[in-house]
Amino acid sequence: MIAIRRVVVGSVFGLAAMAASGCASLSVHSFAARPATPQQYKSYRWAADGPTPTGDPRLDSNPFFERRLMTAAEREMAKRFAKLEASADLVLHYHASVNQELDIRTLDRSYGVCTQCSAQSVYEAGTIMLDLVDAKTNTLVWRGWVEGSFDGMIDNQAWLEERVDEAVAKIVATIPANF
Amino acid sequence: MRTLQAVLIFAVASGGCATMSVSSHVEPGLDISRYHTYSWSAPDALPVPDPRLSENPFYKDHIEGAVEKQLATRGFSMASASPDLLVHYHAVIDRRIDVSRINREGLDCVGPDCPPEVFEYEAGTLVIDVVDAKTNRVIWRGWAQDTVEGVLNNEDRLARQIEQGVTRMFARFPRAAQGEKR
Repeated sequence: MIAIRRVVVGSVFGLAAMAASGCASLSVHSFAARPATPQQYKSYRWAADGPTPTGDPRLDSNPFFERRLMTAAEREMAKRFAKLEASADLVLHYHASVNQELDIRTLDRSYGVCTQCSAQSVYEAGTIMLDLVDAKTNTLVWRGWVEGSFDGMIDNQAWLEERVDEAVAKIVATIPANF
Repeated sequence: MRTLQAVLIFAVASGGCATMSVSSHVEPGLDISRYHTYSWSAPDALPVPDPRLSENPFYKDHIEGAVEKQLATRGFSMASASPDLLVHYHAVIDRRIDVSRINREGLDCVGPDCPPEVFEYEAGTLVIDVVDAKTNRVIWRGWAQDTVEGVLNNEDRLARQIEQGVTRMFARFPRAAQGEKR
């Protein structure tokens, strides 16, 4: 019971902190090379290199996380590109990292402006990044990534999976239409 | 005294760094009743072990003892030849930050004017992977995270922390024939 209450109180604080600081939202960014010919890319394949360290021992070589991310990426990529095993136009890489961030705004508020918002000031922030490399020229032609709070999500498999799906869909949506 | 106790309990409950956090990931739709035997195997290459743990002989003993006990109570037996499952573990220690709320809730400083205190501590994460020996796929990963301040050089505390972490981790291990969804 105590444990359950702590979780509830924790999530209320967490939600309040996120709502107040805006860290619940995932911010998505990307940059893209201008393609030489519009709609020149029809297919992609996964890069042969495996996942890189994430900075969090719970996610390093974690096949559940890796498969979820790859499945989500394949589902989103399928809307635009064919997946091939070899001789594809594009090579897809992914990278994920997690680290602790300090929310200065919640700290500032506890210096007298607000008595109720002593909530959580340290949270786990994550970045998921996807890269597309032109297979012929071996140059990076698009990079998309999301940044946001993953606080408490690694410890909750269902929640993490939802977050990964949401993040990957947002990233892939930034691939330019003329690619 | 009572106030101090209350403050300490509150600090432990809210501070985060002083409490152990335990969780796990599991393969969807896993049928654990297919597996009966296990064996220890070498951990994956990625994590770099902390020498304070990898060179501590008690650490290995305590972890393997605790895991073997948990697996035995769940009906798994150790098999050196062709086991169904391979079990490996690794522990990582890294520096983390937390914000103390003790001062603001305590007696010497009450109210919104008390500055929060940001401090750094060492957190240990013990990760245990259970692998299907035939497919070489991880079917379950459990972990426990806790502060290791004052623990690494104290065998009794290290043993208690490992015992608690492994017990709580395996409380989340899938059970056969209960149809329980995680």
